[in-house]
Amino acid sequence: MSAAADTLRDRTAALQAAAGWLALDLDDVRLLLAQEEVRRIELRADLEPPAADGTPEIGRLARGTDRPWPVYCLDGALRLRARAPAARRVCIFLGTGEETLGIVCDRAWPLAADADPRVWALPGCMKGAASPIAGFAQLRDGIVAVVTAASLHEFLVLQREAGHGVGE
Amino acid sequence: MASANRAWVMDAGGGYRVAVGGSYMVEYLVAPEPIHVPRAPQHCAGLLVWRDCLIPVIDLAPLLPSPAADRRPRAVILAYPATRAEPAGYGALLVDRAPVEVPVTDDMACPLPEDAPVLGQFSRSCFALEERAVPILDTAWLFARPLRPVSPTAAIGTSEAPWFTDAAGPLGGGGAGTSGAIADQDAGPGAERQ
Repeated sequence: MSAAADTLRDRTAALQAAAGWLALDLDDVRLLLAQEEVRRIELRADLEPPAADGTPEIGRLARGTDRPWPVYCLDGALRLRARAPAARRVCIFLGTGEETLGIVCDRAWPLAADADPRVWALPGCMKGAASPIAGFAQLRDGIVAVVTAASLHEFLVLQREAGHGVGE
Repeated sequence: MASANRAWVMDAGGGYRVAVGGSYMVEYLVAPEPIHVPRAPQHCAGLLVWRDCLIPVIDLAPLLPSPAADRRPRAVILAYPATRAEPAGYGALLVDRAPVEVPVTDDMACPLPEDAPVLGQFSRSCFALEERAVPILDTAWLFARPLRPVSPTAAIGTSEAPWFTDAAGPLGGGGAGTSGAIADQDAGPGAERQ
């Protein structure tokens, strides 16, 4: 993509084009995901243990997948956690096209068709931070962060490769 | 006698003041309530819903030496011009008190405050007011671009501060001058900047 095409307006339009949204809660933080990027929703209880200790994964899903899909846990400050609290009962799997990964959340539900969130891309001054947030959406009851499969994947790879940011 | 342009001077926290050209000052908010954004950069204080738009809120205080404690910040809404990467828009800057309008002329030009090199990243020029340096903000840099790491010892005009070489005025290697930097801003946010 050319730099000229990568404007705030273009990024916003790309986010706004989502046909439907899935909301999820992490502690007291609410995130929105485009439904078209959601591959599967599973119960955390159905996950298998991580492949090895010392990884930032909290588990993986191997059933019905071509290769195991890793699962991660973020806290309410969007920090990567090596252990998921009991409240994280649901696992959302997102696909970038090449990779599929999951995050656990407290609950998840589709937004009503008439919710019609107004979406903004991440302002330029907030770019460059290690964050999975790709934009924001205005709902009737407030502002929530928008996360995409690509932004979440990029964030998790960065955290994993940097070897930091993983707390208990 | 040099012609004067009007600038709005604002207290950015910790005793540091910054300025913008008159047409970039849009509104003054007495009690802003930014929405917190997890993992936002240190100087991004969150978001505001303003006139049906979601705009970023910048707080320069955490980047400055000895930021004041127990602040009750106000905010100013500033416009920024279109760049190659972003369309024109608005942002909010937290300030300690109401902005003040002052006349500025080229003979007021001075170096940026040496103890706050980060301001060079957001500034087009600088002038002295009451014996203190007041950087003129480039609002597009402030709101539409990410902060770059700054060496605390970076000197203005060196390769460590390349962002300042395109600034108008005597500090930027010639050009419109300090009042010109403001006059350029006074042309309004519609003019595209690189």
